[in-house]
Order: sequence, then structure tokens, then C-alpha cells
Amino acid sequence: MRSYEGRLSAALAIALALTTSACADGDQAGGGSDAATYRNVVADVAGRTPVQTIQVLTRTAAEDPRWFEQARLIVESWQRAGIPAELQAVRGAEVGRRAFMSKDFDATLLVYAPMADRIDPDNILSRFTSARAGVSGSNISGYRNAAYDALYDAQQVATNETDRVAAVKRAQKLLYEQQPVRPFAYPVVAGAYRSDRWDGIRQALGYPVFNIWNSIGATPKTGKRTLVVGTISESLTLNPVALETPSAQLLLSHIYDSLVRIGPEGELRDWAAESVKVDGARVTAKLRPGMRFSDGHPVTASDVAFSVRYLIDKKSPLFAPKLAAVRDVRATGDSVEITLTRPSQSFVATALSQVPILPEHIWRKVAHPEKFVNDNPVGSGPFVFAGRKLGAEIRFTANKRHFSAPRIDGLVMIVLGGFDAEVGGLAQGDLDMLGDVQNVAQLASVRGKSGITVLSAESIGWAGLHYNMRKEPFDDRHFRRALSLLIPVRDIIDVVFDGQGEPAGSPIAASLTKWHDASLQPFPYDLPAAMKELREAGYVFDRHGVLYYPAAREDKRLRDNDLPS
Amino acid sequence: MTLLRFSMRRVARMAATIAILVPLTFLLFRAVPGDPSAAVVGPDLDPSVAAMLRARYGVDQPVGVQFLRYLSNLARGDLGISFHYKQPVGDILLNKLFNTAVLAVPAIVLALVLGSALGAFAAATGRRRGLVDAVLRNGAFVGRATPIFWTATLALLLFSYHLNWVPSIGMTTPGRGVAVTGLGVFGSPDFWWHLALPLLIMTLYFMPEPLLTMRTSMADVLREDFIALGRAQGLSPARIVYRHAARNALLPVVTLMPALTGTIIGGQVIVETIFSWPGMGRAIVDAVNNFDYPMMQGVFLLTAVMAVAVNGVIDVLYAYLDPRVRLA
Repeated sequence: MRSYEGRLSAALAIALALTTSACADGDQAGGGSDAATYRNVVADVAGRTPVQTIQVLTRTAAEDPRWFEQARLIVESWQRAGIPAELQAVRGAEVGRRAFMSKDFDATLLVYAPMADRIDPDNILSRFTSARAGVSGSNISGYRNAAYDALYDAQQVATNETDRVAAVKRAQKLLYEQQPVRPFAYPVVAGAYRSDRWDGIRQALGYPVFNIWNSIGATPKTGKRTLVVGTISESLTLNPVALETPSAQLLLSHIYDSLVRIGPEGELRDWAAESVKVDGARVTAKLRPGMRFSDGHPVTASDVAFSVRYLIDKKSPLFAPKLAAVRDVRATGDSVEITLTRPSQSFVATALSQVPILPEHIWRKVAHPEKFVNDNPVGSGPFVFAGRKLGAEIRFTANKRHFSAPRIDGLVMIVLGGFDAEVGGLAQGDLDMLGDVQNVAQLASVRGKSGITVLSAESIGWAGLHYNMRKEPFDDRHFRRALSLLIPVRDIIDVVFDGQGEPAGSPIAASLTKWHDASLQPFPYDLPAAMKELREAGYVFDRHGVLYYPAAREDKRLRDNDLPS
Repeated sequence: MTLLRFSMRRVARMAATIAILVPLTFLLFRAVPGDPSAAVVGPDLDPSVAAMLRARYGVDQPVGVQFLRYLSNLARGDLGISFHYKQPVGDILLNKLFNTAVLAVPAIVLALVLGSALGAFAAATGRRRGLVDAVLRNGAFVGRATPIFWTATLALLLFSYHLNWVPSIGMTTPGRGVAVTGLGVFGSPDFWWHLALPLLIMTLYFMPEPLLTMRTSMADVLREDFIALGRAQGLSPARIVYRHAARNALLPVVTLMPALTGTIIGGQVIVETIFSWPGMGRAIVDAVNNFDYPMMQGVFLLTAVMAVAVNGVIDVLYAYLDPRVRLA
């Protein structure tokens, strides 16, 4: 939970920003009369159906003022343009339920965090495939397009990177044109650390400061050899099989090795594997020799094969979906061979970089991992678990025998009540590093402070709006594009992100330079263009400004969903 | 009625209250719309696992079945496994309860002792030195009217961020080698240093009620005949106020305790969040935010049992202090 002071300061900041920006942004969000000049107004609307009020799903202002403000700016902009809309502010868990589980929404705000597995474009692209458009799928827009599915499959089975990049770019172009989602901003995210005490911290893609590379690379400048990292999201369980929250996965990746890891620049690095070969649907990994678990047992290929099977069999919430394509896994000597149901170019980056190598001799005996506390986790990673106090701290010592041994002696994660307390702790010197990644505006108080370095980067995730294409009027491309053209992106970035972000075009973030299609210009706020989209499809306004669906004879709506639901 | 019989009856009533509370703590949270699997499903966890999670949590069963399972577990002293922490609720609560107790108990004791003493002082000096009474009385009013999140945040800003006198987070300094556990924390100067500010804030927050109650009650007692008699006998004013009057005036303050329970829990939630104190208060907030039913049930049952127990003990204490109560 955010602390009260956090909420207060955020609310104050937003109130202040709103007052100051009200005048400056007047030009972007024009007045009612301005909007009226571009409308397709007809005198007779007999027989037409008015467009129902669009509910924009977001979190409550009390829970998350930033989410709320983004949705509020969008709704007000739509209303000014004559599109009936209202805010539907509910608890975060309820947003999750409606968007991801019941698909009971019109349009929903969503923020994709810069998780490491989003460095590969598959994570985002898979969210628009028709296979996942069902009620319990991650394709929350409900986009079902055969051409898109074909492009998605093409990037999966591409035999070389050039082909894969080409398919990824064509897929994002389709998403851009058809707008099942409108990503509107790539926020600038940041972390910070005490540079008066630590050297060797490099900015990385994803989580810019707290990540495995900096935990390994941190070099003490002073006598202090234990890195103290703050966090507001406690790692609730140390059991990777029961784990549900990816934020805890970062911490567990300190204890458990994986075959490969995603490097600081987003590149794949061999890790516990000496080499990984992908040959169609067959992935072969050769294990690095001489690795040991923290209890002294050697790490074998059989441990790796066991881990993959175990995570699938025991339905690990976080890892089983990533391993869904595995048909068979077997260990031979020091190699592991994984057979997939079909070729996949993303499997190594999205699955093998995340899946932990569990010690078979321990987990073999655990029949019900969901009830196993794992209060003394044994892994082979660069850090060894040393103890924890629930709700307070978790301690690690460095694994000096690891092939990539940390330079520090230990690492402590401290659990805090709110992000402001975390920033305060860094300023005070109680903490050496912020473990959470936040919009850089949240770090204003420590920016430029001596002894503290703030590292910021454009997020590999984005903030955007999903349209629910399962229902009218969102099944129409013209309508979605009109809505997208009416999102006051500049206002959102200035007011909510304190100017720290860039307008977005593609759902593949600009910071993923290899995959991002830079030719897809972010939609500007463009009232005339939006009204033109509505006019082309046949929507009309009556003289009172009420918006109506096209009449049957002039219906030019474009249905992009060409697959049956 | 003897004190023993009175106590027995009181205990029986407490048991009945708890018997009503158990289904209430269970059903209340089930009545809130929400789904524990929705708390984790989102952009970072594939929604396809939601059904599996609901089955794992047991919330796919009819509420009646869930309730029976809850009861049978409870009868065996098992509060279930937290959805969120993946650990037995009992273990988590024990740990958090201890952390809360080391902050709340000293704060309550200090607030009662200081509050009563200052209240008595205010009443005793009332007529002669109006200023002292005015300062104490108005101070208490201001204290009672000020939201604790505001005082706590300001105190944190001033004493921690600006003056740097006390640390801003947690119960102990992070990364100080071996963490002290159990009652051993009281032997650690580092713990006292962390405790100082939240303890001060909590004490100031709880104090106005006992202070104002004691002041009023004391003023009443001081008008009684036996006080005038004492004066006439030539007893010293201090002896009259603190030996004879205060004893009689304390009864309403004792009665205040159960009524304070709500204030204490509310204050604890906020202070623990602001000072990153790993106690029950924060556990309540986390449990509710995450639809962690076993944790919510555990926290609220424990809180309810404590409130009922405090009430019972106070009643018995009251009956002991004032025999008329037993007859009623």
C-alpha cells in the first residue's frame, strides 16, 4: 500500500500540475464549440441508435492517483469531443478481474511494467493472438485477426533474426493501424543508489538499477560490504513453484540460476548453460561444469530437466504458462534437450531465462509445493539465502564459489511501508539502493543530491488503453482510431508523468531498438482527424450533440476481427 | 454475587460473543465483492492460471463447504495458509503480533499513566492556575482532533529527514549482522532508537482521552464532601489530590480502555505504515488489499478476541474495584 504521505503528496502534485497546466494545454483539448465545427450533424436521426456511454476502467484515486488521472484526462477529452464517456474507478484487483478474467469492460487503462521478460517482443505480441482471446486469455482486447495470427506465428518460427525482426515489425504495424490497443506513453522509469558508497553500478534495460547484474557488479568504495536495498513490495514467498508475483522473481533469481539470463542491454547471455542451440522445435543446452548448490550437491543436467518437468506438473502459476509449449524434456550427460510442440524463437528468451534450476534432491520429496514454505531455499545462484524477518528484511550472503561471484559480501532487502519512505531511507543513508522502479518524477527529491545517483531510462513497458473489441462500438476500427486520436497524450505526460515520458506509437517500446518500428508515429491529439474517422464509418451527431451509430444504408464500419469467437 | 461467580459468567459471555464473531469474520469478507486470484492476475501473470489458483485457495467451493472447512481447521488451531505469503497464518500473526505489541503496549501504558497524571494535575490546578489547565485541556483537544497520519508524517519529516535524530524505517537498522529476535530487542539500543519516534507519536495520540476523562472525573470528585472534610482535617493538598481523589477518579479511566481499542487499532495501522513497522497494522492493510481471506480472518479474529478479552478483564477489574457492579 502507498503511505498516506505518498498519497497526499501525489494528490497535491497532481492538483498543482492541473492548475498550472490548465491554461497551457487549452489549445490541445478544445472547447465544445470547437469540437462541434467538425461534427457530422444530421437533422433527422430517426431509426438510429445512440452510442452508449463508454466506461473507462481505471483504479481509484485513493489507490493510485496516477492511474486515475490518466483515465480522467482521457474521459474529459472524449466528452469534449462529444463522445459519451465516464470514469469507472475501481480497486486494482477489480480492474484485474474485469480486464483479465471476466472481460467485462469497455475500455481499460493498463500499465505494462518493465519486466525482464518483456525485453523479447513475444510477451506483448502474444497478447493479441486469437488463441488467447477467450474469456480467460491474456488478449484482453479480444482481437481476432487471421493476418495478425499468421505474422505472430511467422516471428515464432523464423529461422533467422532478420526474418523474425521483419515479422515483428509487420505485426506491430497491424496493431498500429487497427488499434485494438492504444499505447500512449513510454514513461521514463528510474532507480537510484548511493554512489558515494558503491561503484560498478551500470544502467540496465528493464529495471535500471536493482537487477542481478548490479548485485553482482556492485563494488564497495567504503568499508561497508553489504548492499542494503529497499522495497515496498515484499517478496512474499521464497518458493518459486508457488510464486505468483514477478516482482519476487527478481529476488529469487539471486538465489536460483537459470540456463540463460537477459543481459543489461537486453542481449541473451549463456549462464548456467555453456551453450544453447535452437534447432526448429528442439532446444539443446549444455550445462556449465563445476556448479554446486548451496548445500554442496553438484548441479546436473538431470536437475534442469527435473525443474522443467516439476514446474509444469505442479502447475507453477508463474512458470507453467511460459513452459506451455514443452512437449518433452530429457537429460543426457551434461546436456538437456527440450522438445517443443512447435518451433519457437522466443522460448529461450522468455522461458529459459526465467525458469529456476531447482535441486532435484530436495523438491523430489515435495508432493504439494503450494503448501511448502521453502523457508531455507537451496539454489546455485550468486547469492545464498541467510535469513528473513517477515515484513521487515531478507538477508543473503554472497556465493563466492559462483562462476560469476559478487564483489560484495552480502545483500539485505528491507521492506518499507511506502515509496516515500524508501526514497527517504536512501537520502538518509539507511539504504544503498532503491529496489523498486518508479516514474522518475517520484525521485525528484533525491535528484542532484550529493552521494546519490539516479539512473533513468525510457520504459520497455508502456501505459495504454485497451478497447474491448468483443462489443460495439469497439469492434469498429474507425471508432477505435477516433478514440485513439482523442487521447490528450501531451497533457497526460506533462501532468501525470511530470513531463517524464515520450508519446508512444507501437506496443513494442522504443527502447527495444531491435524490435521497435520507429516509422509508426505516435497518434497526435487530432480532433478533426477523429471526427473524420467517425464520419467515414457513418456515425452522426444530432443537433443536441448526441452521437449515433451509422444507419444500415450508410454503415461503413470496419470489422478487423475476421475470426470467429 | 461473589467475584468468582461474576467472573465465570463474564467468561461464558465472552465465549458466546466469540462464537458469534467466528462466522461473522468469515462471512463478512466473503460478502465483499472480489476474488483473491484477481489480486495477482494481471499484465504480469497469465490469466489462464486463475481457475487453478481459485482451486488451490479453495475458493472455488460453495461458501458453506468453505465455512465448514474453516471451522474444522479452526477447531484444530489451524488458521489456514495465507494466499499471499504462502505460509501458515498462525506463524505470521505470532510474528506480527509481537512486533505490534512492543510498540503498542508501552504506548498504551505511557498514555494511561501520563494522561491520568496530567488530567489529575489539570483538574487540581484548575481553579488556582487557569493557564496550566487551559494549556493541557486545549492541548488534548488539539491532539484528539489532529489526524495521526499528519502528525506522524510531520514528525518523520522533522526528526528524521531534517534533524536526522532518529531513523525513518523499521524496527532495527538493516543489515546489522545478526538480527535480534524475541524479547531480546529490548536489550538493543538500536531498537530503542527506532522505537522512540513511533512510540512518542502513538503515546501522544492515545493520551487525550485518558487526560480529558481524568480531568472531568477528578473535577467531580474534588467537589465531593469527603474532599472538603480532608481539607478541614488539614491534609496537604497533594495528599488529597493524589491519594484520595485520584483513586476515586480513576474508575472512568479504567472503563475507557475498551472504548480505546478502536482508536488503538486505527492508529496502529497508520503509524506502522508510515514508519515501515512490520506489525499487525500493516498486515491488516495488506490482507484486505490482496483478498487474502485466511489472513483477514486470522487478523480480525485475533483482534476481536483481544478486544473481547480486554473488555472481560476490565469488567472483572471494575467489579473488583466497585462491588456495586457485581450486584447489577
